[in-house]
Amino acid sequence: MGPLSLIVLVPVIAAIFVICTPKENKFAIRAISTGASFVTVVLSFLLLIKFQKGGGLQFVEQFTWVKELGIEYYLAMDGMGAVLCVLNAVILFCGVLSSYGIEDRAKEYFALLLILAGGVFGVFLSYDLFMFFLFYEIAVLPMYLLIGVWGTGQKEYAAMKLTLMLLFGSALILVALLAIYWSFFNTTGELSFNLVTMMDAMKIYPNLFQEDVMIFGYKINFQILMYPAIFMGFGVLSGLFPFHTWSPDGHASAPTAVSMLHAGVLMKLGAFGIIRVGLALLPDGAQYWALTFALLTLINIVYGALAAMSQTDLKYIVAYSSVSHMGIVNLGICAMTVESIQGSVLQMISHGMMTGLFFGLIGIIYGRLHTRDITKMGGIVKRMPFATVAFTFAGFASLGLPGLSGFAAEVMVFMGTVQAKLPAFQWIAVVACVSVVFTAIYILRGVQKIFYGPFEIEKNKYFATLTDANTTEKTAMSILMAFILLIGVYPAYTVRFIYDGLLPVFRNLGL
Amino acid sequence: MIELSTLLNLAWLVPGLPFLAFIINFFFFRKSAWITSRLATLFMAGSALISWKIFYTVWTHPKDFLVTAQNWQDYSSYFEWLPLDPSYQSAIQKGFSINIGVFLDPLSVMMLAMVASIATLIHIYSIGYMHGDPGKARFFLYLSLFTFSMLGMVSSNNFMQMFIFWELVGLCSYLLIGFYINKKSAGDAAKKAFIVTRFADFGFMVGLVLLAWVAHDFNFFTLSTRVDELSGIVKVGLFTFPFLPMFSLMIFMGAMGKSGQFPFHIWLPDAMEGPTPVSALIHAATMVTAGVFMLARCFPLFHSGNEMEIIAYIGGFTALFAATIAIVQFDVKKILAYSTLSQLGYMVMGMGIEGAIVAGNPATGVFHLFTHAFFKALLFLGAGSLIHAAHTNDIRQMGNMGKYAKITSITFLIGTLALCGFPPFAGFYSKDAIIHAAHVNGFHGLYILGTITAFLTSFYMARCLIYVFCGEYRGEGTPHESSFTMTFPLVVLAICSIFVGWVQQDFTIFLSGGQMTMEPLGMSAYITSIVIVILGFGSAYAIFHKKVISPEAISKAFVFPHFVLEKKYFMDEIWDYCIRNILLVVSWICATFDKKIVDGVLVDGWDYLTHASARVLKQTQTGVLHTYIFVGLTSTVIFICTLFIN
Repeated sequence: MGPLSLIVLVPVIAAIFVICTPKENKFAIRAISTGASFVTVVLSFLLLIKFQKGGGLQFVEQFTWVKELGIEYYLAMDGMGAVLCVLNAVILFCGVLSSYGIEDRAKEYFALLLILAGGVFGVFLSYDLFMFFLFYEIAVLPMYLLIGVWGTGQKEYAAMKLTLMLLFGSALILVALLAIYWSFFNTTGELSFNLVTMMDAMKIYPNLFQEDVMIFGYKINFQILMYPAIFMGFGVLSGLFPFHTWSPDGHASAPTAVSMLHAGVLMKLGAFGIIRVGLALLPDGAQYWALTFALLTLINIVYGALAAMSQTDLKYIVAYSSVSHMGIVNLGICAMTVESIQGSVLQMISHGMMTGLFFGLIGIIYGRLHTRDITKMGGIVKRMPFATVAFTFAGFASLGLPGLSGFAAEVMVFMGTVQAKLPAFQWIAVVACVSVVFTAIYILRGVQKIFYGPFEIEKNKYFATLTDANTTEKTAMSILMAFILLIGVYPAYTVRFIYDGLLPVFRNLGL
Repeated sequence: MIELSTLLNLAWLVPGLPFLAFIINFFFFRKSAWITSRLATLFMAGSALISWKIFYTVWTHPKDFLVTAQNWQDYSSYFEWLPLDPSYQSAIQKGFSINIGVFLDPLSVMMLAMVASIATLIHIYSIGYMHGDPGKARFFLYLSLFTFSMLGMVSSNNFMQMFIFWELVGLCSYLLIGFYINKKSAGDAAKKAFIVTRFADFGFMVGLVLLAWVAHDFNFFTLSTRVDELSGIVKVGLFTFPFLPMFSLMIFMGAMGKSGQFPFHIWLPDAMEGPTPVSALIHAATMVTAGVFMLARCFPLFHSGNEMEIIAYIGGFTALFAATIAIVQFDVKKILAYSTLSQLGYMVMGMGIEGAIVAGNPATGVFHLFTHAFFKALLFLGAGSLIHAAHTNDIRQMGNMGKYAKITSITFLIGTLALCGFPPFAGFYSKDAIIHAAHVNGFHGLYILGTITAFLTSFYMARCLIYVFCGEYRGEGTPHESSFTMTFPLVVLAICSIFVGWVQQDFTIFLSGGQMTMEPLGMSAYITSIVIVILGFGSAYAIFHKKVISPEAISKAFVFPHFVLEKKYFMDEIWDYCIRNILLVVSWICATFDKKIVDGVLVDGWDYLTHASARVLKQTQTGVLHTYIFVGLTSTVIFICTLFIN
């Protein structure tokens, strides 16, 4: 078994161990989960260090699974996968640390969390479309239970909404993937889900994925038909307007670690899927639809930031902020330039760490104040200095302060977008820049309302016994802060991996 | 002369040492204010010494430091911070990336030395001023971080590095304004400062994004050789415009935010909520002059564009506008803050005038930046010492301070004379050079604006002096002189405020790499300046001390203008109105639209549709057998009938 199978399987095996542990033994459950997630962190870092830039796909594990259908077990790591695996491992580890407070059905909770993370690793590493989709569903579905069982507030509604909307996206993706499979067979006479084979074949067969499809008597180019299915299908998960509304409700109801993993990693799967499948296999479709979808993402960016400004629930603020930031990711993908796509991937990582930190802190605050309403807070810096520093830190990362990860990513996306081939993109880039102002407004307003101002004991009955984050929580949050800082201080390190991973995509896009 | 490469290596230490101090203090001595303050000051002094070494070398060899587009690389040492497009190839560069490093040319060296020296003095001052404050260690952490960022900004050779550190000094400004975390007003002021400058930075950012698109390059020097190419028309969507003027105005918008030009000035007076050393360092001497520094840096690029006239008028207007508000303030720091705004207006006006004419000389504006840093830092530190002594900011509660705090009073007086431009103090040489430039280059409107502002400056400073030093002490307790760590910087800065103006000619030669000279100010300038100061002091003396016409009578006679001035021309209210009633309403509309339409109709609509259709369809499942048989038979009959009809 190679290292990639190992990193996918470690969380899954740990989940099995957790299930086998007696449910009274919460210590063992936490220990196994923490241990397993720590192993994934170490593994992902070892892989990152061992990864040779410029060496193409590495640590390849490939063998036939279902020969008749051309399904393969194909795991491989590219530069993009390498850094995204680190992201997932780190968020998982911090998420597990933040979940020590879960008492109710802890066993099932940790098991589901680990399985979800295993699925995410699988998505980042599979180069076979069938496996890709399989892992994608493994990653997405545990969310229903995690929110529905351990959530708060309108949890059933939120869980149902989230799952149905994501499944609607999955349906679109499935259709598109099967169409790609079928079209590939039509042109080459070969049954295969293998992504590398398909990308290589595109150079040999200029007509691959170019046939006209008859729909109601109209001839439509295959790519033009299928790219929206891919973009919108994955777009549901990456918070594309108008399919983003699962996100505020879902995040608000989800328990801390689930919000962290969901906003931190799962939303990135959507954008990752668009790059991996959409841009790599359907470049002409992407070109055709670029402007339309870019406008949707622009709505995401500006409208999400504006909507965040009027929220009073902390989780809604961060959820809408995620909508806005994921809009930047999707915009970079739509612009299709070297800078913008790299920026998108960097923004995925940056946003992952940042929202992980945000939701972790909200969990800490909510756990102590039993409210997320910012009008019922104020002045808590006196009791929670660490949380204040960490939240402000996350806030500045979010508003794109240089030196923290968000800035480099946003700059790359904006500077890439302005160079896109279509004329309207210059305006889109300029308007998207407005988000840096809006973000500053809602973040600083929030920070001011929550942490500063008078500390009135009578405002909230939990104020009297308020304590700062405990050591475990501090560890988790400090790890995330360290990553935000390290990526931001010297982004070139991360970006070189991303560039390496994106080279095949750039080649197919003709960049 | 020492080797250029050695000099460059040394230059890394100038921003490097404060950064090191920040790191060491953060990781090891966060809890110990004593160590933090000493260590930070020591490192800062080291940085200042190195900067002086570099400055001396450049000062004595100005001709060797004439940086051009061909040789800029010899004078910079940098690394690739962020590769944007490694595959990009052009005639002048391989790869498109953001670089960070140090860079030596007269302007940056001058700024390095100036910032490092003033920062050192303010570190020393703060040891005394912050004594006993529970947040002293935190204060020095922020101060080190700020100094690092400011030094990093002035040593940039490209727009992106400038922007990166530009934002970082903004962060430090935010942290330091909101330093007193228990004061709500401090937090609000910090938030306001950051958001207002962010609005302005939006312009900067758009400028940079467009620059990346049009020029694919950020370097000041290579860009300045491409002026003709960049002046060409670009097409953005349906609009076309000449790139360079648009770009310079966009970038200037950022400068307006940082340097408090109208209408972005509103954050600066509020920023006085921070500790006084911070006001002196950040909001008087260094950070707020960043916009002027930027104009000087981009001078070759923006040179002789028509947009520079707009910039000059914005500066001139701000100078007058802020000076009028300063007349009615009673908070000593607020008076100085508005005075800073007014002086920044002068600087911007100077840069604009020189930029608009063909043989423009950036030294005019930059020299005022240089001298202003000394005397305004002096005034703020002096004000801090007065506040420390009297325990109030309100000049109405001071009085006869000269008796209690001699050194502070004398140095404050020197600072005031320097600010008012009384020859031979520093302010005269720099400020009158700007007014003179407006006069000889035919900007008569600006000349008049500048002269009136000079009168107003003398007037409000004299008013301030009268309140502080005349009459009897009106506050509580007995004021006392500050400790040595606080008076020592005052004395040093006072000496500088007297003498730095005299180097005007050498400064110009130095700054231009020996290419330009400035004609010395003539006798008429001396006379005008002395007359204006005497007029200003005299009228203030008549009104506020002798009460020939009492100030109350004047404010009664001019109720409305007085009200407008007291309300600062309602600028705060206008901003507040715009944010509250435009932005937040739009925000509310978006949030509601999202909840009610996108979510309520588009998403939950499916839910209703499913339920509604189920309600209709479930009527058919009656469970009554004869209904089923009836429906079955009827439909069979209809089916057969249709077959026969066909």
